[in-house]
Amino acid sequence: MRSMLVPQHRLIARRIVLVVTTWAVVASLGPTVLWAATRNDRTTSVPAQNEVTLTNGASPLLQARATTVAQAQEAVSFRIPVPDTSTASRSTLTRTWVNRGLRQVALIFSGGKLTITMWPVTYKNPLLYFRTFIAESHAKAAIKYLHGRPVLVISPHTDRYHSNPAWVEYVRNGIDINVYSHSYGTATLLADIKSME
Amino acid sequence: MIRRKSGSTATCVLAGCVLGLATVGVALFTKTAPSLAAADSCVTHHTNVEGYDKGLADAFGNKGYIYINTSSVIGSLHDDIARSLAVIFPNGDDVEVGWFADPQAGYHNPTVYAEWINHGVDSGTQPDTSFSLSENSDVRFRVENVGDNDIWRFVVDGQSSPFNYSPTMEYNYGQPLTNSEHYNSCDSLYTDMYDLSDASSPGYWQSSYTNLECYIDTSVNDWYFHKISNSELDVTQTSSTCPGP
Repeated sequence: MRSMLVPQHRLIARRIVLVVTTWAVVASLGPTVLWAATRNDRTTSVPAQNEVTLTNGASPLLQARATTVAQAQEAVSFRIPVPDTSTASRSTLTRTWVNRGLRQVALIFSGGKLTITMWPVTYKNPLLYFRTFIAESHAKAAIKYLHGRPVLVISPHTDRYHSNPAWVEYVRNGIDINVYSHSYGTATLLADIKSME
Repeated sequence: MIRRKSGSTATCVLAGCVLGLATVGVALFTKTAPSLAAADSCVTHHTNVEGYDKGLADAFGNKGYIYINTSSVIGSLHDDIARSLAVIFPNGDDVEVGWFADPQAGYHNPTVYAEWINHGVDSGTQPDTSFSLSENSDVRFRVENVGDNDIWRFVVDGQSSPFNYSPTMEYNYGQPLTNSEHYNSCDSLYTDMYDLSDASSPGYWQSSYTNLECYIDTSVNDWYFHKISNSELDVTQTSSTCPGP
């Protein structure tokens, strides 16, 4: 009832003050709110790492075509060993690639979690080659042995950008075999190549 | 009455909000709209526009002139850009030579660099600050394996001595590649590369690529690879001949 007793012109004045005050507050805070909401898009932190995108498609080989293990084996004229473990086996083999001209084969397991590539070895002395790699690389690497054959073992996430995959390489019957993964560690990869023996 | 009074107050607050928002909107779209809109649309986005010699998968070298962008482009960068020639190998390994600028890493001027990936291990950008690059010019770059010994040399401006060497790579030859790259969507991908050539055997340079083709374009359709001839390409925003990511 008391409000009914407030003179009409004072009521109008209060309303005008309220409108103007709200107007001023919104107008002054608006830009701040917008800035806070969008500033994350403007702050970036990317190290100086230039990186060409190396393969268009899923093949780790160049100019390769998808095939089967049997057809790849026929194309490259050497036996293609396939691991038999929980991480890599014929049941988890996603895709097989072959470059017939260069006699190169790639096996992709579990949708890319693990990759195996193989081709006729291009260097004469694996042990010397692996030692040279270790001496010239800043990543953590070591040489282990499997049935007397040297195996290059590169620990993951140890290069300059902590981005390299786990990697093992060895030569078996004149075929250079590389196994690498961004999902599994070197112990898993070593178990995989052991199962290929 | 209380309801009537609350209704009046709410109406006044609402009117004030509408006026305030209108004021902000007018300010944004009349005074600062262009610059804010540009800044807001800049996002971190690693993009490559690449070409390759489809006709030679076993090259022992890759060379050509690469355009050094203007000072207005390089001086307003948000992040790293690079232009390079590479030879790529199976398993994602490669050797790469060219120039880059990266204001976030302190490289405000175009800088010569080499880089290699060996068994998945990235050397990182290896800058060479001893050679000064001029903006808005064309500079020769060359990466080559002359000794057939898995060691690649990186050369700028036709100098007699390489500015860097790769470690012992697994491969003597690979696929020649051209690369224009940025890490922020607002930074230019414009480039022109000409007198492109690759080596079909150590030290033997062909007169041009055998068949220059687009390799990949991850730029979400705003920069395009354009083949001019088997020895020249540019990357612009006006023509498209390349498949997307």
